[in-house]
Amino acid sequence: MKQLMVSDNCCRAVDLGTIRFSQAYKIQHEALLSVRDGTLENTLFFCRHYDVITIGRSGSISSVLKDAAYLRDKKIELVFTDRGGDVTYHGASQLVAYPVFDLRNGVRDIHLFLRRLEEAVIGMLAFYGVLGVRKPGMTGVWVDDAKICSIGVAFKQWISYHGVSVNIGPDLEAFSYINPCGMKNIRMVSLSNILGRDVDITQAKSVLASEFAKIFNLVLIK
Amino acid sequence: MAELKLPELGEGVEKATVSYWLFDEGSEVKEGEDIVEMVTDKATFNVPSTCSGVIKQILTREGQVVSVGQAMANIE
Repeated sequence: MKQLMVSDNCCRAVDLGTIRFSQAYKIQHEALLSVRDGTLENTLFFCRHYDVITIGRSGSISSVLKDAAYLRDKKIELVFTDRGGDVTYHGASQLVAYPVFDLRNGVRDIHLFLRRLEEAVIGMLAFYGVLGVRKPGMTGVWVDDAKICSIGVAFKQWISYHGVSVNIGPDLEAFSYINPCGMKNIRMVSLSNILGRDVDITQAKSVLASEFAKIFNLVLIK
Repeated sequence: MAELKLPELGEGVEKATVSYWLFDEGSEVKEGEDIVEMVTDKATFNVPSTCSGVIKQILTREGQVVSVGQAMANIE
């Protein structure tokens, strides 16, 4: 298996807690500039978002099935953003990971980076005894025919931002307000649904951080 | 005059779509400055200018699919 080498193998894992999407975006962007300038090491941000539907560069408002008044009433933000991919939803039930990784001196390969993100999540699911798989042509991680993880990234000068969101808790109702990833009739699933029990999101975060370190050959530092 | 071409994006990525141009024809750009955003699969990325100068001609429009190595703009 080809090893994806990130420039400088140090990585700091930072938990942003529960945070608005736009605020996390601002933090990632500031980190990206610092990584670019060599004043910050690779950083892996974790967070949970307040309810938000995000539309990536390949998406459109037509994939949002509820109108603005409905979303306002449910206190769900709607944000157009600069990641790849279509429409997705983020909420408190999800664990979101944003790797701000410097690939300039590593392997500059977009598809390989996406595959490695999938691998990190598949490794995390394996910790819980759940078999996550890839589907060719459909970036993300699936359990049987249901999607458990969505992925959408961006690069500036080969430094990554945006990332992955993994459904952990049982509440997936808001996914019915969109066509996830622009696809109709896609079934979403969460780790809690599969295991039939609550999952400690702090533990899930720790496991995912370890998988990132393993897959990207990084040493996590505090 | 220099051509801005779509750079190598890694194994298996042969094409990308122009998302939007950060500058117009006639704009002055610096070497290394991001001038166009591209989209492929689930990733966006910016292509920087390979030289300083003025964008004389944009050859690929927003929404157009571009192959790796294809010229996207002329900069002088």
